Amino acid sequence: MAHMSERSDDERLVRRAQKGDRAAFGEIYEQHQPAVYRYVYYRVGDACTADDLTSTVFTRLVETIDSYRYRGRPLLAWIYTIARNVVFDYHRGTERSRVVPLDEQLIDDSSNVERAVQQRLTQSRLAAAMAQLTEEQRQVIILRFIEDMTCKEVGLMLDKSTGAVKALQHRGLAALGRILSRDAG
Amino acid sequence: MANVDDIIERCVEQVASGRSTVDDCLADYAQYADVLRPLVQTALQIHGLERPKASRAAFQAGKRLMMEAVARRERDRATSRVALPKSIRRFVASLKPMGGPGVAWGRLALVGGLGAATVLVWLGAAGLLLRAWNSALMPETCVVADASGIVQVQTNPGGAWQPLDTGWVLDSGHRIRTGDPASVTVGFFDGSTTLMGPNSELLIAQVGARRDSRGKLVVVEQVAGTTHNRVQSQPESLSLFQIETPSASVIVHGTEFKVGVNPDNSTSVVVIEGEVAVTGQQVTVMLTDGQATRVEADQAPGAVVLAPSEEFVERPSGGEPSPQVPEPQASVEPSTQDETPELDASPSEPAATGTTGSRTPVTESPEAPLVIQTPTSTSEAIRAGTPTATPKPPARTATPKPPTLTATPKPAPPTATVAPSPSPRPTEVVEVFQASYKVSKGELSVKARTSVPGCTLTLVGFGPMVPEGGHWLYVKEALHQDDVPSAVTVQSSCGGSGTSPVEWE
Repeated sequence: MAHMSERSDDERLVRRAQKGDRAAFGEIYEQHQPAVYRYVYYRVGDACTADDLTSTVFTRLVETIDSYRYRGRPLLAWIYTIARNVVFDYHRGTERSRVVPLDEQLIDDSSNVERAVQQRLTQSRLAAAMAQLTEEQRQVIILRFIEDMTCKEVGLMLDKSTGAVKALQHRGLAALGRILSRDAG
Repeated sequence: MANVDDIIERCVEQVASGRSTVDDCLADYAQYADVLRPLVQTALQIHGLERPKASRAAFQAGKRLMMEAVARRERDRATSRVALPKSIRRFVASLKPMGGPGVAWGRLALVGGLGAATVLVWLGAAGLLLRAWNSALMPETCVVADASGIVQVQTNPGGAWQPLDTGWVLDSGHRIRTGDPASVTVGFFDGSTTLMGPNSELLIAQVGARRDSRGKLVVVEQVAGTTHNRVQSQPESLSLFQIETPSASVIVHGTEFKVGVNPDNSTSVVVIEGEVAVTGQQVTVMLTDGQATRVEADQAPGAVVLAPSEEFVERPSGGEPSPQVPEPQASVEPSTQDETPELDASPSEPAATGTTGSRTPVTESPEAPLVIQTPTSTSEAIRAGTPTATPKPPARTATPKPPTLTATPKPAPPTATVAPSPSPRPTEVVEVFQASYKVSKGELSVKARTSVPGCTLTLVGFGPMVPEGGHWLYVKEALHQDDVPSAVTVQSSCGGSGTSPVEWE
């Protein structure tokens, strides 16, 4: 996969950004915004909130880029750390019970409304179910099956062994299966 | 033998790639099938979901916010780069006289030395605190003048846009936008002004002055459209007037220039008076009177070119761009010279004292777009624009100084002056007013000036001259006496030339 081959580029990209190269910041955003958005979406279950928090992640990235030191882990791993903190702050700051609204983004898929509705429900259910996993399980599930990373890449991203990733994957899938079947019933 | 986790991964991969079905895959591991089936199906269900994706608008909005954060970061870094060394230097300098001759210290007792050191530490700490207090930035405001057409303000990020009218006082964080046709002038507390053209958007990022009045700061972010800026020359070295665009950063200490953010986020800069250093992608080009450049997004500034003379006068309605302008042509803010009659000014109203001849915004109309076509790009402007003694062509000699905008909400109506019609450049006079060779240093120094702003000068046989103040300079060090010419010739890019004998000193 491309994730591994891009690791060496991460260091150069971050160095450029740290020197104030605006284009480098633009590249970081273009490359990683989709993944960060998906991660945040499955943490908050709301497209609008995911938009706002994703934007906050990259603003915070700019503010803290000078503290980043490349140690062999992908840049995205660091960005996920920021995203996790941003989401944590969001949940901590909102006392209200979490609502999982319809996924507004899929409304654009007018070519197959029925499928879109079905998809929408499934995505919403998944987002709600994911919220009940542990942080590590959730990250492994997202990286493995949403971001299509291998267990080895996930391990590199989370600084865990491949075996640990597989174990988390196993427990996460089992928990998700139970949650989804219970909710469906 | 494979464990359960390996089997899950294998089955998911095979089924997801279409090489197998769940049943086929699990058939190979019949003893685990009951355990594996729900896990694999859950994994496949997640894998098969359409990925959530931000809307394009949200994507772009997020990127814009990020780039605004980048601009803030660059400002902070620039401030810290400048302020810290100077503070340290001054602090160290202030300590020198207190230290006294080293011989005297050698005779002091150890206790006395420690006591003095303690006093120094306390004095230093107090000095640093005082310096920090003095250098603290106190917020200032700016005043809206001559709002015309649809002009709106957003006082909070993401808040509602409200109509903006002449006389409003704006603070840092306020965002202004104009419709079409529309224009508005923002008068800053230091006397600088920014005229926004139609379809422009500006964020007043920071306006303030040091507590000790030794520096003034104006930072605006030009998101879109065109601006015509007149920056008051500030004697304080710590003063800064900065415009951030999506592709460039323009820093000025006193000059008049135009900035245009084009639809593709490139930036066009035209310098009318003064000197400007434009930086993009860490490459800087210098612009002087009448020169222009263009910075494409994520690229270094383009070549410096002469702005066509049409840029200094109002173009006739429907007029074609100057044929002298090479491709690519950049759309920059309309020419709004002071000599240009105000389109919406009442000629019958007398000019107020102190503002006679000062420029007020021109209300551009779509029928008469005042478009500057230049193939230039711009980034940073640095040095204070010092009016030169050089005679200027008719279109520029009447250029008044920037209007002094005070807290007066409604500036006086403009004097309806007559705009000179576009005319060919006058005959250029190149004067070499100094050509000397210092024998002791082996230094050849040549100074010259041209009567036509915007022309660049070259010392024939040596190389290009550099602008300095109101003239051009060439200095060559370590030049052997045998290589010193008896006379030097300065050639202008506009065709003129001048010659002077070299005097030995």
